[in-house]
Amino acid sequence: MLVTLNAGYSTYKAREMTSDRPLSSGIQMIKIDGDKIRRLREHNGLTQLYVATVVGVTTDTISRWENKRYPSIKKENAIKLCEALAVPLESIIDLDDHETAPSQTTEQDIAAKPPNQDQRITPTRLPLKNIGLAVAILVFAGIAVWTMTKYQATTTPINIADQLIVSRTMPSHVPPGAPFPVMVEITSNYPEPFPFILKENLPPNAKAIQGKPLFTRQNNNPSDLKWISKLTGDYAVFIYLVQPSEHMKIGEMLEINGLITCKKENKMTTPIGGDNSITIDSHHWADSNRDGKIDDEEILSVYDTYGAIEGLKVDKEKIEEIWSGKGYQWNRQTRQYEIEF
Amino acid sequence: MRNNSIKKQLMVSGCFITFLLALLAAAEVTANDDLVTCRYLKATGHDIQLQINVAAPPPATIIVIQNIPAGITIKNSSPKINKLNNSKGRAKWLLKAIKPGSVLVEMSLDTPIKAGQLSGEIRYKNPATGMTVTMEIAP
Repeated sequence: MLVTLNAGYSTYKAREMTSDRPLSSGIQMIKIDGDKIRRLREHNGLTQLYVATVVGVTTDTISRWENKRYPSIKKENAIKLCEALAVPLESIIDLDDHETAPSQTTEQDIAAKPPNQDQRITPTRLPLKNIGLAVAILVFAGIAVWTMTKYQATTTPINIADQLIVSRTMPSHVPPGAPFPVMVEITSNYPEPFPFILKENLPPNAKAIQGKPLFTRQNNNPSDLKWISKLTGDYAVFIYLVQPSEHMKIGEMLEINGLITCKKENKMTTPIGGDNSITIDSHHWADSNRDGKIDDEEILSVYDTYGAIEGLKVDKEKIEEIWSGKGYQWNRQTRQYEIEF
Repeated sequence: MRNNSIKKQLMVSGCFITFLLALLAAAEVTANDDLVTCRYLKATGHDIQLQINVAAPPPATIIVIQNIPAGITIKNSSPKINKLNNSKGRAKWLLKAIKPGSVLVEMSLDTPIKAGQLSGEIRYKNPATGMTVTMEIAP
């Protein structure tokens, strides 16, 4: 940017000879008569300090204006100067409007030119300086951004909600009255242990019969299950068995909803994602493709998912029995699986 | 001259990266294959033995499937057969609570079997991927 300004220096210099014309930057300039200003100030008994204070510049600037070192000044400064001197604008304008000597400069020029730079500076030195300046600014900006980012990373609390995945897994179907497993998995990237409350709400036509770990019933309500725990690692799993009512009809659905509430820096409550409904059906819950038999893939899935949980009554013996047979049928009257061998 | 040198360097770098990627892919395949291995210790005569070697982390369950030639029946086995389909000539074992190490499956046949007549496979879920792996038992 500086290169552009200086490259066009001589052009706009010639243009600014006349008063009240905008600079290339759009700022209007006024050619002033320094002698008149000095006379008016002294006539009014004003000090340079007073005038400088009213205009909002330094006493050095007032001195330069009076000594004609800045023959053109900003129009807004000229107006303020006239206010300080209690004279109209015309009183300070240089009416001669003669050609300004090349050595004379405006205050705008001073602002645009780098310090200690004059006409003798060769064009080749300027870009190098500017490149150096730009590099320095970039390096400084980079360091500033890096420092701020690091500072933010160490001081901004991590939102637990962004670090948690809480998901429920349950079968798609189950016969009426047959227990089925519900698994809630918590996966965390949060760097520290944190306490949480896990709540699951069952519909009135279903009841929880076992929990690993044990759950408590909120407000003694059999439909509201609650676990209060602390996540010390990056993973936790909560499994419970739900028994739908024997009176439910084929095609009806059960819906389970739940929430997890964590508290660290902030309290956060978020719903549990994943599966939330199961259909009442005549097929075993482990028979995921509902083809009337439990195949190798299905029994491997049961053991892979629930095999390691000791004491969980998912009736693996029955599942194994069905797997070892040719097929099975759900007897609606006896509410038992009839296995064909 | 300089361009040729750069091209040469790029080609060498490309070959090296390709080689590294191929090495990584091979290592992955080997790792999967090494989790469970299975082979017959005795594959002829009346008594058949097969050994399953399991690395860590072990799969929860392994299904062993043994095909039996027509006309031959298994008199007894250790562990006990979980699923027998005489019409298909297929016996299955469901091995549970698997731990790293080796598992031996033994069976006695009513008729001696000749070399090359036996075939079988194992199935398990890879705990790392959740994928079902089916592998033939090596003779």
